[in-house]
Amino acid sequence: MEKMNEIDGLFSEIVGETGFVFADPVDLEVVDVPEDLMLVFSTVKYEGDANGLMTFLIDKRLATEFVKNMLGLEEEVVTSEIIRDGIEEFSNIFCGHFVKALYGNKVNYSIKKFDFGLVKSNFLLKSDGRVMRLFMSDDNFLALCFKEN
Amino acid sequence: MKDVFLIVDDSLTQRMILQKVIKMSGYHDCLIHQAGNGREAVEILESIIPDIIFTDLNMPIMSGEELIEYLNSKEKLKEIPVVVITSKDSDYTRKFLDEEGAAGILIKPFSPEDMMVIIQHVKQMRGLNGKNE
Repeated sequence: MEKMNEIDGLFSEIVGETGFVFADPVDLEVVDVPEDLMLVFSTVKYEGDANGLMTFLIDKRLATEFVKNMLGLEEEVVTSEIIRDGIEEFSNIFCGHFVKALYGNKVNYSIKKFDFGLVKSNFLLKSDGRVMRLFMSDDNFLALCFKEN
Repeated sequence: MKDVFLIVDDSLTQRMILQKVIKMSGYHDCLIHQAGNGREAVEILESIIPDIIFTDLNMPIMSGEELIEYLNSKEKLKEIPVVVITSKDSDYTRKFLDEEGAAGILIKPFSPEDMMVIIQHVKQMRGLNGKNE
């Protein structure tokens, strides 16, 4: 539980520093997640002394703002390619911190892009051995999902 | 003379962030070249010699580690300071960079102040100060 709290805190910190989105952890069993909610996700694979998959999910409504904040853009229109690249880059950035928090700094590993797309909110409720952590920023949802191999 | 920097990263977003952060850290007048991986960087290095190379480690085609090893194998390129930009702050990464003589490491995410400190540090080490001041 202590490790989960550490990872939750790290997630909030890196999301805040990178995308200027201030997200607090919430209990998935307590919060009502709208059924029609769409989430953008990016999954990366870490391989080496430690192995697993880590997925970053962000409310579709928040994804554009998040990437614009990452890039310091204001009025400019961002393309879907930039949004995808930004979300994937965030996953990559967070994964480095995540692996260090989970396994310490002695592990040698590489991070690879694995998958990207859109999922409905019921993805958050599926349980197949993954750890799911939910966060809220105002009324927007973000999540972190991971599975160690 | 303007400072010349080379950014090597497969993420367009990260290249945009780096470019912005370098300018925000006080280097408004510099020239910035960009490459999407180590191989593209090697091609650019055939025509320009930058003051500092900023490189990611995880990249397709030619990784940051391979790029650093390549630079160290070339007489003409081995003196270019390399700053590694990574989210992987592990003992392995630091040992590799130490052994390969990287000039510095910046852990993502980083601020313009962090960037300014590392550029000044590298320039002091190389005796390049005064070029952009």
